Amino acid sequence: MPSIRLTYSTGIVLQAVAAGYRYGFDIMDVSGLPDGTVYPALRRLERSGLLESTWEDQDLAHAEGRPPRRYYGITQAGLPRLEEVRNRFRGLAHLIPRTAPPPPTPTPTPPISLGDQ
Amino acid sequence: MVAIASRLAPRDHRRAWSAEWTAEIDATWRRRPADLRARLRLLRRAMLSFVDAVRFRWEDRQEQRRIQRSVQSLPGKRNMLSDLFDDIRYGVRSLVRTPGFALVAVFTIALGIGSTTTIFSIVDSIVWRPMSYPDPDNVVAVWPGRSFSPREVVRLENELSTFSSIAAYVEDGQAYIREDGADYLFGPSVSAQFFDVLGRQAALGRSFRKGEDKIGANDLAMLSHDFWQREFGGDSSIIGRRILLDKQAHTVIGVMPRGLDVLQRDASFVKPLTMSPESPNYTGNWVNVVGRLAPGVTIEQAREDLRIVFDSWKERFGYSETFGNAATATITPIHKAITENIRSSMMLLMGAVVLTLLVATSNLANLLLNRAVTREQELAVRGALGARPARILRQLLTESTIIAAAGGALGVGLSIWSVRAIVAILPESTPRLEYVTLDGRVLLFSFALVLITGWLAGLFPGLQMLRPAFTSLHSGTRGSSESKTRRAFRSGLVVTELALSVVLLVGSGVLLRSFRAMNEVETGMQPESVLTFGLSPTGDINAGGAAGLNQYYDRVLNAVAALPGVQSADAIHVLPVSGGGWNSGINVDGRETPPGAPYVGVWWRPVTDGYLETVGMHLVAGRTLDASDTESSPWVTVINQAMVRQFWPNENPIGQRFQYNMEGGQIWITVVGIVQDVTHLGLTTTTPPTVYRPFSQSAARLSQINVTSRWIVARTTVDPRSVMESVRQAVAATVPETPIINLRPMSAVIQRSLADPRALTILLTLFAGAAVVLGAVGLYGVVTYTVRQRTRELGIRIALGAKGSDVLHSVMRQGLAYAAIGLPLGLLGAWAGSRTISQALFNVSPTDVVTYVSVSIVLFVVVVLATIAPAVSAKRTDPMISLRAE
Repeated sequence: MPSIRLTYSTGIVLQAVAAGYRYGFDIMDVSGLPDGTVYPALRRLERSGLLESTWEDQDLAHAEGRPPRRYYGITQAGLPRLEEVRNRFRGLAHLIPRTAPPPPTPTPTPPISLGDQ
Repeated sequence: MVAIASRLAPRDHRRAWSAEWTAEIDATWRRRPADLRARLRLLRRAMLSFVDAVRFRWEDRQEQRRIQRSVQSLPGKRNMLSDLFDDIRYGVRSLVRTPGFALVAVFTIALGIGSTTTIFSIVDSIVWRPMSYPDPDNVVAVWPGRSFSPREVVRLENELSTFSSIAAYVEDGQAYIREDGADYLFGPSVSAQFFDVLGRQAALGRSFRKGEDKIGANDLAMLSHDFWQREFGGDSSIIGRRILLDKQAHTVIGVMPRGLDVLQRDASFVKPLTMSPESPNYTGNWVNVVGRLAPGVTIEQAREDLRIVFDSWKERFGYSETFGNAATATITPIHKAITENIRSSMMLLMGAVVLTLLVATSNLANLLLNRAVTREQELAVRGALGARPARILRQLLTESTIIAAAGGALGVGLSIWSVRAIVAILPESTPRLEYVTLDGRVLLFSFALVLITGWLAGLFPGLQMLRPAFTSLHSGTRGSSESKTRRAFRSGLVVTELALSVVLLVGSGVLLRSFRAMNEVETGMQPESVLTFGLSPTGDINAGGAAGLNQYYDRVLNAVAALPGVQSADAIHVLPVSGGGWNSGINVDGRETPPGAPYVGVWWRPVTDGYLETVGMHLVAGRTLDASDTESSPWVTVINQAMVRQFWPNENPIGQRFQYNMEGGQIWITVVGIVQDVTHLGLTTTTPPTVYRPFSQSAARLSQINVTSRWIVARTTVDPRSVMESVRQAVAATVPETPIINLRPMSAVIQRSLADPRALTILLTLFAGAAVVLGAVGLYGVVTYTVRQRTRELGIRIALGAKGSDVLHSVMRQGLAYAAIGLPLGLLGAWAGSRTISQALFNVSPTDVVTYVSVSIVLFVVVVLATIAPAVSAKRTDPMISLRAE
C-alpha cells in the first residue's frame, strides 16, 4: 500500500474520524476544512490503509426509510500515524471536540414472542 | 443531481460513490436544516459532488497508472534483476523435473571443463609460465646437451662479448650431516656468477661473489628457502653458521628467495664449484653452461659470437673441425632448453583435451536441443500467452548457463583433485613439476569457458527453437516434423562427435602399442630379483686413492652379500637404463684415425668383476672380468656388441687393443670378452659402444677426478623388496656416515624410465575413453529422439504389416549411417595429425594399420550398443498407441 505523507488536512480528517465523526458530511461540518478537500482526503487515507470504510446495515437504513450511509473508522495502522499527526500539529487534538455521537450499532431484533399462552 | 454527477465519477467506483453522496445528502436533508444558510450549504455541497466526481476520476486514473507501472517491466535495474531471478528459479525447477537430463548434462560439462582446466594448469605451469627471473628471455643455455670443462667456461667468460654474465652449473647432491644421522640432499654446484645469470640474489645474507669458486675460497653454501625453514626454523642467525656437507664444513652465507628455480629439482642448497686450474677435473667435460645476454643483444648475435669464439678455439687449441658448428653449438632460452623434451607431449595432451572439450560441447548442444524440442509445446504456449521471443531465448540461455555453471563448479573441483593425481604419475624428471599449481588465471579461464560453453550450447538450440515455437501451436500438430536444418544440425553434431572420438581413439591406440613395444624392449639383463642403491661417500674417502675407494666399497659389498636372501652384490659406476655416464674417443691399435673424422663416443662403465653375472648379462664371446684382473695386471675390458659393430665389424675383436682417452689415453687395453647390448641410456635409445672395465684398474682414474659415487646391484634369491630393510641396516652399520640413495628394485628403475610415455598413454587413453562415452551418449540421444519423432510413421508401418525386425534394422541403419560418415572423417583427421604424435612413438607408425582397424571395430561396437536400445523400443511400438499419440 502506498504510504501517505500526512498533511494538515489529512491530519484533521484522521483526527476527526478518531474523535468519532464517522460520516463524510459530518467531517465536513466539524473539520473546518473546505468541503471539497474532505472526500479526497478520506479516499487517500483509505488507500493508504489508515482508514477503513463500511456501509450501514441495509435493513436498518431501509427501516428508517433512507439509504445506508458509509462510515469510516481508523485502522490499527492508522493509530501510530494519528499519534504522529498529533505530535506534529499540536493543536489538532483540541480542535475537534470529542462529543460526536457514536455510529449506529445494529440492535438485535427481538425474538418474535408467541404471545402468552 | 448526484445521479448526473456520478456520470463523471470513475466507472468502477460509480455506484459506491453515488450511493455515498446520495445517502449523505439524504441524511442531512432529513435533519430538516433550519435556516437558509444550512440549506444553501447543502445545495452547495450537492453541486460540489460534480467537482468531487471529476476529482475522483483523476485520482483513479493516477492510481491505475501507478499500478501499471509497478506491474510492467520498465528498463530499470530492479526489474532486470527480478527477471533474472525468475529465470533462474524457473530454470532450476525445470531441470529438477528432468533429473536424467540434468545429470548427464552436468557431468558432460564437468568432464570437459575439468579435463581442460587440469591439463591447462599443468601445461601452463610447465611450458608457458615464464621462469621467475628478471628478463627471463635473456637467460640462455649455451649448447645445451654438451658438457663443458671448467677451463672452457673460464675461456668463455673471457672471450664472449655478448653476455653480461656466464656461469657453470652441474646437478649435484651431498650428504648433509646432522647429529642424528645423514641425509642425502640435492643441490647444484655452480660457478660464482650463477646468481648474476639468474638475475636473482639472496633474500637473506648474500650470494656468491667473484672468486668464490676457487680453491680455498669456496667452502660456502647458500640454502633454499624451504630447507632453511624446515631445518633451521627460518632462524636468520643461520648466516655465518657452518654446516657439514660431505663431511666438510661450509659457511652459510645466504638464503635464496622462496621458489627460486636453480635448475635442479628439490634443491636444498647451492654450493660453489671448484674452477681453479689446480683442481683435478679442470679439463674434464662435466659442467653445463648458462648465461645472461647483455641488454639489447639478440640470440642471433650471441650465436654468432659463440661461433667466432669456437672457430678461434679450433685454431688455437686444435679442436676438431666439426666442433661447435652451426648445427650443434646453439644458444637456447633456458626455459625452452629445460622443457624441450616435454613440450611435444604437453602439446599432444592439450590437443587431446581440446578435442574432448569439443565432444563434450557438441554433446551438450545436442542434449539441450533435444530438450528444447521436447518442450516445444510448453514454449509455444508461453509464446501464445504473450512471452516475448527474447524472453524465451533468455530463458533457454539461462537454463544452459545454470547447467554449465553447475558442471563447471564440479569440473573445477574435479580438476583440483586430478592435477594432484596427474603430478603423481608424471615422471619425477619432468621439469618444473614442483611448480605445478591450479592458479587464478586458470580458474578465470575455466569460468570464461563455462560461460562461453553455456551460451554457445544454449544459443543454437535456442535460435533453432524460436521459429517453430509459434507455428507449431497454430498448426495444431505436436511439431512432429522436424525442420530439415535442425535435423542436419543435430546429425552434424553427432557425426562430429564420432569423428573426434575416432581421432582420440587412434592416438590412444598407437600410444598403447608404442608403450607395449617399449615394455618389450630387450634390456640385455635379467632385472628381476635385483636390488639397487647408490652411495656417494664424502671426499675424504678419496684420500686413500684408488685403493681406499675400492676397499670402502668392498666392505659394503661384503656386508650386503652376507645377508640372507642375497646371492651376490656388485657395483657399477652408473646404473643401466638411467642414462648418464661419460664417454670419450679411443685409439685402436694399428689404425690411423683420419683427421676430421666424426667423433665416436665410447661409453665408460667401470664395474666390479662379478657385475656382469649379477645383473644377468649375456656373454657372447670370450670371458667376463674376474679376480685375476687387478691393478697390476694388464688392462682388460669386456665390450658390447655395438662396439664390435662400430670398430671391428669384420674381424674378431678378442685380443684387439686400444687406448682410451677417458683413462688417460696411454695404456693399452685388451678386449677379453663381448657381451650383449644393454640399454644403458634408456629403453628407446640405441645402445652406443660401451666398455666394461674393472674397478680395480679404473678406480685410479675415478679417484683422480674425484668421483667417489657408485651404484650397488644385489641379486636376491627372494623378492628384492623383502630384503630392502635388511640391506639398509647393513649399509648403515658398515658406512654410517654415508646415506643410502634410492634403494629400489631394478624393475622399478626400468619402470621409472618409462614414466614419461606411461603418463602420456594413460592420459590420452582416458581422454579417448571419455570422448567415446560422450559420443555414444550423444548418438543414443539422437537416435532415441528420432525414434520418438517417427513414432507415428513406425506405428503405421507396423500396422500395415512391417515386421519388427524391419523396424529394428531401419533404426540401426540410422546409427550406422552416422558411423559411416564419422569413422572415415575421424580416420582422415587422425591421419592428418599423425605427424604430431610420431615423436612420442617407439617402433610404431602413427598410421599403424592394426590400430586403425581396431578403432573401426571399436566404433562399430559402440554404435551398435548405442542404437540397440532405441531400436528395440521402436520395434515394440504399439501401432494403436502411436497413432493416437498426437
